[in-house]
Amino acid sequence: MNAIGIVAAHEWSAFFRRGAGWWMIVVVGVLGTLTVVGEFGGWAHEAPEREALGQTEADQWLGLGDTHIHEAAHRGYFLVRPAPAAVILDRGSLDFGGSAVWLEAHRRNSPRLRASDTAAMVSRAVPRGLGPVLLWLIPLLLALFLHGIVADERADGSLAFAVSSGAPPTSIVLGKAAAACGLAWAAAIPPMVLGGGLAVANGVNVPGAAAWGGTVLVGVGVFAVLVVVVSAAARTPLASLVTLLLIWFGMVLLVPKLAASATQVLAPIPSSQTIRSDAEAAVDQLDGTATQRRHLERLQDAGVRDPNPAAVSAMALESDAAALFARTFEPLETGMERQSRLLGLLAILSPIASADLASDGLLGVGDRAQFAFERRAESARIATHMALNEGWARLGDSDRGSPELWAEVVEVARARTRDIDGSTAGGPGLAGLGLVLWTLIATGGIRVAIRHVGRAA
Amino acid sequence: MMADVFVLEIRLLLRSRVFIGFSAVLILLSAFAGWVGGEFVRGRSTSIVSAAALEAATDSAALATADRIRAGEIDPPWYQSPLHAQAWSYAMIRHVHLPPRPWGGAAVGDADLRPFLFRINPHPPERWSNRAAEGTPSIAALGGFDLVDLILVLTPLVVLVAMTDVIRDRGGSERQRLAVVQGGSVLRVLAVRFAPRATLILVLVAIAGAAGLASILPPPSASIGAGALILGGLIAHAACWILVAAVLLGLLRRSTSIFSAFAALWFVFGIMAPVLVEASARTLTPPPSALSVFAEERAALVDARNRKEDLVRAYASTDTIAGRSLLDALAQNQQLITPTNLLIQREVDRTRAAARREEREVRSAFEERVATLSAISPTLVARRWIHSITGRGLARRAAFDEQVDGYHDYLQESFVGYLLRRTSPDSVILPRPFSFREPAS
Repeated sequence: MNAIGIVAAHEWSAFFRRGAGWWMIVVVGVLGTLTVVGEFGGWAHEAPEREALGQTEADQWLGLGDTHIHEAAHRGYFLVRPAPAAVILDRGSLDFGGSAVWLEAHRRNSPRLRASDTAAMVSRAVPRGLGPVLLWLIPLLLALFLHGIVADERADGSLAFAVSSGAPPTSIVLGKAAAACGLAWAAAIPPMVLGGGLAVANGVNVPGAAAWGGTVLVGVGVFAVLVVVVSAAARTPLASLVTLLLIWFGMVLLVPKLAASATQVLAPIPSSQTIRSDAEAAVDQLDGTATQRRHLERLQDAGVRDPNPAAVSAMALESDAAALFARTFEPLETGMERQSRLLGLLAILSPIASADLASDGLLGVGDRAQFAFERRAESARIATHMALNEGWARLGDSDRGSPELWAEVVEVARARTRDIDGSTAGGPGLAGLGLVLWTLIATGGIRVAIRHVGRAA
Repeated sequence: MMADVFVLEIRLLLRSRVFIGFSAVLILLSAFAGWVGGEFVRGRSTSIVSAAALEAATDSAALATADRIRAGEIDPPWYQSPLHAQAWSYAMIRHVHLPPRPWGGAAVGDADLRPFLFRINPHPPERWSNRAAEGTPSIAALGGFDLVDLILVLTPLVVLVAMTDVIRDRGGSERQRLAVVQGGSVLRVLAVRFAPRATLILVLVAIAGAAGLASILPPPSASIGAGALILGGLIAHAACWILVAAVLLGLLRRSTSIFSAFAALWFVFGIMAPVLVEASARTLTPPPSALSVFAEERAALVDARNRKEDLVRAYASTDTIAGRSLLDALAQNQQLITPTNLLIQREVDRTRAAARREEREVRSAFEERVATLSAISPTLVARRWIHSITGRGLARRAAFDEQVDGYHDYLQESFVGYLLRRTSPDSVILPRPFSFREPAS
């Protein structure tokens, strides 16, 4: 351990003497900080806008007065997903999922307000947020600055001298790996602390933020070890640099794109446009006769003596439509979930992609969160319209709503998404396996590097 | 002698396992990307044909039903009769579509995120059910393999790999010292070695591009000229990066410095350029906030809904044929969903007209800024140019949006008189199908 520490300390001071250390910390610090500030500013602007939009929706319902209930049902309610503070750390795939759903009677609408819809140039497979920026940038800088960490010493003969003088190859490699990891983490931690602090102060739970941070540090740490391994195995510093750049490119761009393409080929999903069109046509064919009796009996059991017949008919149509939508959309929903899982599995081919997807899951900014929001929106749609129609049924001959009924509808809708931020943040998913796998690979790589260093003498 | 040196350098490069391996991977990936793009486009073309067939079948069925109604054979309820204008306005099937251009498979871009085919009807746009193109968000965030993007992003790496020996020798080698002693100057020696490799890079990019374009299996309507232009764009882009390498070779001495600088330029101007340009354009010329526009549209809609009775009365005073019927319905508290929806849409269009114009202007200014800033990156310039050939540019999408609005206006003209007057013609209303007109380039 003492020898490892000596080598690590020596490398560490060499990093800063040569300037590589300062460059890494400054470049990562500046770009990371700019990313955090930009994302925080964007979130701070968008979060109140979304809240205001949600409040406007609620206010317009609360101001409906004695509007005809069926008309109110087709006005609908726009359920707006709160802007999660986790975007300060990682935008995940949020820009590609809609954040507002129109809850309308017997219609299941697609989510709207998708950020990518308003981009002039939609950037695919690029880092979005602090986490991805660090996962891209630090490995690239490690490749550029540390490619010669072993190869340079081999080229100038100092490695052979050290090994033949009795320096243990294990200590050399482990010391260099420790120093490289230390530099990667030293560069990552300042912007992570800034971003993490802002995120936690605005609602992200501490364990989630800590897990995110750990995932990013593991991702860059694995690459730091790979840099040492490649540098030890390469014949020349230039070969080391070229190899590391190709590895970086493969891990950061090629593997994720290949995984996405392979997922679409292996697990295709039906066309959402066809499904929606079919669902709409099928709803027009429903007559709800069979279900009306069930609702009538239920209302009478609940003490409603003469339920409004139009309300009972609407309830029947609503429940039949909900069942129809559940059947019709099921292939699309399960297909998307299958694609998400498969992508997580294929991402294990790259530690960077694994860390990125795993951190999305931990923060609740990935697919799972979007699916949960859409499921909750549909659940809210059914619940609000059933509440509306039950209230209507109890009115007897009247068809006009009341402030109490509108308030109940608003509360039912909002209750479904109130805690969506906290509840959709979860585990790393299958991508977490990739990090475990790559940690083992890196450990194995250390042994390879030790062998190569040992041969230097 | 120069020719001998030229051939020798090419032979040396072709002996490099790294270069050969990389070239093989590039060509294979290009072929794969081309095939993926071709499948994507063929799928869309099939969907458009199916939609047209569905429209024709529905129209035929409606005409047959109308004949039977007139003959007295059947008497369906009004909401199932194609002769009832309101019922038919919902049941009629019409689609709008943006057909892919023949070489569209070469550059999918963000086409998979945009609606290319959706149902349209005479009613307000919020009643069009399937306008959004949905997919798994993480897959959408990554995108698939786009032939043009693949080659544009990989070209700098090709340059780097092909020029490895030249860059290494820039830092000094025995071979170079010997050549300089014999040849005179370092830069001259490098130039002699550089030119053949540059030529081979251009040939490799052309081969990869051609392999990709061939794998698209383009339709017969695909013109060779357009394909040649796409290849030309890819080759010109490669030439830019070769020039960058040449400049760095001239300016810097150490090989690792040249590599690092080239890699950094590739990262900034090749990979991150779209993000940086979009972010810069949003800072310099902020586009309208999607949330704000959405909120204002919604507020205008809600306001119009709250005044719907006034709107009905105002319309009734201008249309004597519809007036009586509408006012009677109001007096009897009847539900006038379809006519009021149309009047509400007109009112929203009126109240939001100025704001929408301003939003379009601001949006255009933002897109122009993006176009201007894109000039900093050869990758973005090449991509925009190729996208304009393959039909993925903003101009074509804007033309589509405009034509959709125009077709909607046409559908409304066909129906709205009947819908507001709550009457029906003697025959089934059959508006012509939508046909996209390519914008003048």
